[in-house]
Formats: sequence, C-alpha cells, structure tokens
Amino acid sequence: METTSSNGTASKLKGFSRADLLNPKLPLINTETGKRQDGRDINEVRPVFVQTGIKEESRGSSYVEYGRTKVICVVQGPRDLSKKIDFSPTGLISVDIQTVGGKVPERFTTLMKDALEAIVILDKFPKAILEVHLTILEDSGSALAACITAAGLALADGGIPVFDIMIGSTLLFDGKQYYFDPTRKELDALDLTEQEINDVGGGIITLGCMPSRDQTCLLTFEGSKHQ
Amino acid sequence: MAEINLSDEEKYFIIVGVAQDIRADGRARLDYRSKEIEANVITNAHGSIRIKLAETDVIIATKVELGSPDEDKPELGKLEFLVDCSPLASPEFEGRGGDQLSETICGILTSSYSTSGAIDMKSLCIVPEKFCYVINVDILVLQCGGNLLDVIAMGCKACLGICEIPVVTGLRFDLGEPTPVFTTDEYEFTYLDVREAPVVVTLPRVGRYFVIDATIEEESCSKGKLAIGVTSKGDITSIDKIGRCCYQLRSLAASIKLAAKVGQGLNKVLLEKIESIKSQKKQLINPDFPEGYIRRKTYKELVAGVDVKIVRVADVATVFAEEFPTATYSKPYLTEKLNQANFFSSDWTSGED
Repeated sequence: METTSSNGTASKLKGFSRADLLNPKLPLINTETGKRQDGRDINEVRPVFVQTGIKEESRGSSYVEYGRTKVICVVQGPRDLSKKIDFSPTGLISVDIQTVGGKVPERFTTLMKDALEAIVILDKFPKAILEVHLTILEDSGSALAACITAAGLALADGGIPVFDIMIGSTLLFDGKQYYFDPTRKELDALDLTEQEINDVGGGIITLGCMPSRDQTCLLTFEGSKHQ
Repeated sequence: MAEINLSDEEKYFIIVGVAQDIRADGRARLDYRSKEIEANVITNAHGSIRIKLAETDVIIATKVELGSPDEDKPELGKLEFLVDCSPLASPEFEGRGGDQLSETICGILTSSYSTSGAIDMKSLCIVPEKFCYVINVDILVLQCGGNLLDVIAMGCKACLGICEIPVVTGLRFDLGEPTPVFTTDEYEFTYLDVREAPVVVTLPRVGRYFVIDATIEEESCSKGKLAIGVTSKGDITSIDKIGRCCYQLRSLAASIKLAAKVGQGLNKVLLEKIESIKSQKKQLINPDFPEGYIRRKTYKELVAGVDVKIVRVADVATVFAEEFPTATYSKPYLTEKLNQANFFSSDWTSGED
C-alpha cells in the first residue's frame, strides 16, 4: 500500500509533481543542437529594441525590449517638493515599478532607487523631486536589467544631468557555464536548492553598469559561488 | 540605515583615521567589536537570541509552525523573516519610517538563506504538498549602533541553530489523508543544521578603504555599502549593493575576497557559540542525549512506520470492529452504513489499485 490517495502524490510516484507537469523544466542546453532551448548560443543575447520619446507630455520616456521582456519608463520632474516631504539640500528621487497582472518584488524598487541616486547628479536640483515610473509590460526574464536600461535612457531623453547612462544585464551561472541574458524559463529551470548545484555553485547576477566610467551602479547576486 | 549628521571636520577625522588604519575607537580596519550573545531570552519562542555588538542591540526569536508548502515547491519547507525596526532604535523608524530598511534586510536575508540551499529545506517538509514546517524568524531592532545587518544575520544564524523543532512521531491517515502527529514531550526536538548557513559581512567604503563592523559615525561617512553573504567554507551566497554608491569592478572583486576571509572567521566563532549553547541545554535536559544532529524522519520513513492506514470504508469498519469488539454494530452493518452515507469521495476509493 505504498500509493496514497491524493492525486498529487500519486503522480509524483511516476517522477513528476503537479507543478512539474504544468511547467516542465527543460535542461538549459538542447542536447541535439548544442544550443539553448530558444536557439541562442550561450553568450548570445536576445534581440534588443530601444526607443526614446514615446510619451510626448512627459519629461523623458523610453521603451525597451529584451526579447519578449518589455519595459516602459517615464520620467517626470524635477518638480518642487510637496509640503509633506522634509526639506532636502539635494534632489530626491522616487521610483515606482509596476507590472501588468502581478506584483513586483519590493527589492526591485529599492535596488533601482539606489542605482538612480548613484547616477543622477542630485546636487543640480536641490529642493526638488524626480519621479521615475517604470512599467513592466511583460516579464520574460531579466526584467530588472531591462528596467535599468530603460531608466537610463529615459533620464538621457529628458536631459536630466547624469554621470553616465546605465546599462543593465543579467547573467545565469549553473555551475558549469555562464548564460547571457536568461529567459524566464531558464531562470525557473535553475533550482538553487538542488544538491548538485550546491556542490559546484550557481546563481543569478544582475549588474547595472556605467560603461564610460567603468563602474557598477547596481549589483545583486543570488545563489552560491564557490571560491 | 539610520544615519546621523556629522560636520565636515568630523567626517575628515574619521576618513583620515581609517586611511591610517586607526579608527576612532582604536580598532584597525578589519577588527570586529566584541559581541555578546544571550540565548533563550523569550520563553514562548522555540529559540531566541539577544545579540549585542557594542551599541547595536537586537532580539531575534524563531517560532515553528505547521503550514503547507508552496505549490511550485511541494517538497520544501518554509523560512520567513520579519524585521521590526522599533522607534526606540532611532527616531527615523517612527511610523512607517523603518519599512524600507526592514524590506531591504528581509530581502537580503531571504536571498542569502532560502535560495542558496544553505539550510536543507527538504528536511523541513513533513508530507509533500500537504504539510511542512514554517519557521518564522522575527527580528526586533532595539538599538542601532552601526553594522545592523551583520548583527541581524549573525543572530539569525545563531537563532536558527538553537531553534528546537518539535519531532513528528508518526503519521495518522485520516480518511486517507496523511496527517502528522507531533510529540507531546517538550524535550523531544531536533535542531536545524546551520553549519552551511551564511553570515552577512557588510563593507562600507570610508574614503578609499573598506572597513568591517563600522560604527554609525563611519556609516555616515560612506555613501553606500556592499552586503555579502558568506558561508563557513568561504562561499558567497548573496551580494547586494546598498546605498547611493558606485564601485569599480576591480574593487568589487577585492571586497568580495576580503568578505570571504572575514566571514569564514566569523562563522567559526558563531558555530562554537551555538554548540556551547546546545551543550548547556543538553546538560540541562539529559546528559545522555545522543551526540550530533538527530535527523528528522522523511515522509517515506514516516509512512513505513504507520501500522494501520484508514484509506477505505472496509478499513474504517475493521479498525472500529477491532477497537470496540463489544459494540453492537457488526462489520458488514458498518460498511453498509458508511457506503450509504457516501462517507468517502469516490475518486480515491475507486483509484485505489
């Protein structure tokens, strides 16, 4: 009587859980072609599309596509501080990230705010607030990286004084190889809690880069990396 | 983080001091302040720690609950962090002021614990898809004297290490659904294996140098910091950049190496402390307690230990007849009645074979 009553556990005995059956986790590399599941090489990024000035009435705006990941960024201001907010000798930045039909992790907002405060020359507009609105239209992986690029472009489009334009990128490490610009399916396929990966390390890095100054304005890493 | 306003002269003094490797309190750049760990300060919790590092004072308590696993991770237990920044610690935390800091700390702790496999989350699962242990880690910041994140991470590791998880003694099959049965003995518990759990090393950059265990004054001199999760082997489990700063790639690499070195030492000290707290507890309960970690039974082992599984109408009738031999109802009568009442849903009774 090893089988139990529940359908879920019964199907698990065949080697799959219910979640696995709904979203099968494919290996990162297709063994037949030697390429990734969507036909890219390991160090090939998805087609990138950028456009600025998509919204007339805003100060600056941009639209970025990383493959099927689509992000719109709108910059408003700098405008006077409202009376509710305390006086600030430097400029302030407020970041708001929204997504369509879902919830954005709170971390994204904090990370973006830190990154934007690092690149914008805040001393240029004291007592004022700059509003950055980001909307993730579709998240098919590397959404934070796309947000970084979109925000950088929108700031440039709006003529906001910045130290440099920031470019975002995500990298996936599965213990053996580095995968550029992973898709949502690839990110989900990497199970960081699996014992095999723990032995060799593996993780996801998102980096916001300032190319002409050779600096990083945003960095986050999850997983485990061995020395 | 909570910051204080310093004049330019004060900042200059601190930065020049750091550059000469003598800080305002006499430490070198890579020295920690002395810390004080007090165990089981809260009696209602399954494990609690009060950790003090100079002025920073944090209470951490764990509470183990029975919950159900996430749908996409049916075989893993859950670990949840909650940070409460008390207005006692800093006037900035009043109202919703501490929310952003809490979110940041929770995010860093979650990314360094849950996703890196530092703790074997599979061992926290009782019945796949149905029941798992949920460990709530509640963190209360009483006073903030700099280096808050390191202190919280250290405390979390210690607190999870001494957290007493009640043992599941067996399974009961209620109408075919496996239900865990917990022990009633308060001294029958297991510990989590936290040997691979990370500590967080934050590295604020004061002037041109990274410092370790910064005071609140030193934190005010730096624009931002790197928070790096390090395990006892020196592996990196998470990196986060906090604050409005930029780093060159080569200084990042250097700081990660530095953090790995410091983190290894920190882990070693902390594990010794955890072991000493555990051995004190062991002396208190029973000195003959077996050495090492008691392994929690897996689901398969629990199922194997079940004598009677009530999965069919006939089983209920059999058990009832065995338990109450003097009852007036006979087994065929009971079976018929139960079938009439449609007591069990048809989908699993028919799919039994």
